[in-house]
Amino acid sequence: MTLTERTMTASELRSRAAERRELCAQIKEMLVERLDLPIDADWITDDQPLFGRGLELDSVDALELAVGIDDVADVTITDDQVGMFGSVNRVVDFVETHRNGPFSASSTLL
Amino acid sequence: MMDDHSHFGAMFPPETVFQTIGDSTVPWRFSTLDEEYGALRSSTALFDLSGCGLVSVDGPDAEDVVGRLFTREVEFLTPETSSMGLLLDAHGRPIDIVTVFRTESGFLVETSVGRATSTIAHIEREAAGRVAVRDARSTTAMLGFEGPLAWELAEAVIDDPITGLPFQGVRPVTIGGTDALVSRTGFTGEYGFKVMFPSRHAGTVWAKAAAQSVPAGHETLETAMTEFRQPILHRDAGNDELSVIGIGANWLVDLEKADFLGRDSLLAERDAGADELPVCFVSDSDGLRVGTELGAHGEVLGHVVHVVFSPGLGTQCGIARLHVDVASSGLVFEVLGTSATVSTVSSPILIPASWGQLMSSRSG
Repeated sequence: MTLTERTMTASELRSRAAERRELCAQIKEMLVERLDLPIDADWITDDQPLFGRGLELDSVDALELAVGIDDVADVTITDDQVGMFGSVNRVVDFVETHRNGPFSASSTLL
Repeated sequence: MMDDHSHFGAMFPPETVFQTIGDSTVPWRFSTLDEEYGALRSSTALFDLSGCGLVSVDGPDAEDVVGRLFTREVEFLTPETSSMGLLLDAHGRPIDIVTVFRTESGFLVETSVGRATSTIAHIEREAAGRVAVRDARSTTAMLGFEGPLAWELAEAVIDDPITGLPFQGVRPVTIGGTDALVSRTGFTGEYGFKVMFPSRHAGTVWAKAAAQSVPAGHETLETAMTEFRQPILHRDAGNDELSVIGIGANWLVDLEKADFLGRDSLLAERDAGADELPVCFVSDSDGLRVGTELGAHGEVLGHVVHVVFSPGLGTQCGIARLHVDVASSGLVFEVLGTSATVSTVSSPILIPASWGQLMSSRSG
């Protein structure tokens, strides 16, 4: 398989990135609303750390976040999936992997 | 060559490799990257943090001065806690990533590696004589213990219990009967402790710590920081202009804080929107360099700004700046001019081993 056969075109990459941005934005909005965070969701980057150094969430917030993701995405988080709280992007990875069917830009988590 | 600022240089083995970063020459590697990195990810690595400046800012106006310069609130900072944030210039450009500690007479500011001189000059310039600014490196030594078992080393070196010390917590302790300070902070995502103590005890403390850990150089530190997506100011912009948004350091800035130097410029930069954004990547081959172009079907869509070899992944990883409309995790880009690809990935690039392990009940 040639390199161009293995990779997307720029147009395809833009389309996929737009879908991903939409899902990240929805996760950020959920974080801010559910946890009542004093921050503009647009200021949160996709790679923003959530616990400790980043948004400085704690274990209580983790529980609320897990419940929130379960509510809006029908995805259950277990204790051994601690890595998914590493960043907004990690949460999105988890949701995309565990949701029924691929994410579409027309769907909504909220 | 040894670092003028390091109090531990006499303890280093002769094969130590040094590297100059900003105003400091730091131990880059003591043995091999594999050995040092392995210790960090599986047990405990010992870091000489002499390259980080320690700056005391004292006086009645210290809170006002530090509060105006720091991108996070200091009003409620107590001697038991610390805070990591940025110092910006008037144009909203990063001067330094610092950790701020409250002291009896003001604040202690820990600078990034190699940035003490420029950060001290910035604070002095902006303070305009209202506070006493002192470079504390000559009298204070600092070591870092990082790894999933770092708490064991902290308990072995420190006389007092460190039970219940929370993340970013600070506590006065003694080391060998000498007054010291311990903070539960680090750079790599592993459990981390920094100890600060009088420099005259540097040799003794290093010997005790090194006997129960693996001394690791800044090559290991920077590799792990990159994997953890901890900003490194002297790397993360590559050859580009340094900016908060450009290196993804938004999380170090509290825009809800009403006023700090550079805030208005940063707000204007945010409102204008970015042309490119940083994204983590993992490569399927070696050979990437700062400036390597990435794209799709020959179209340039971005470039590498920072790259390291990750022993944990067995390949290169780093940070690319990509056009904002493709700056996303989960995509594959061509390394232009080659048959190689990079995959954009989510932060942290590698999950620290400590995340799956509890500290002992003694340390809380």
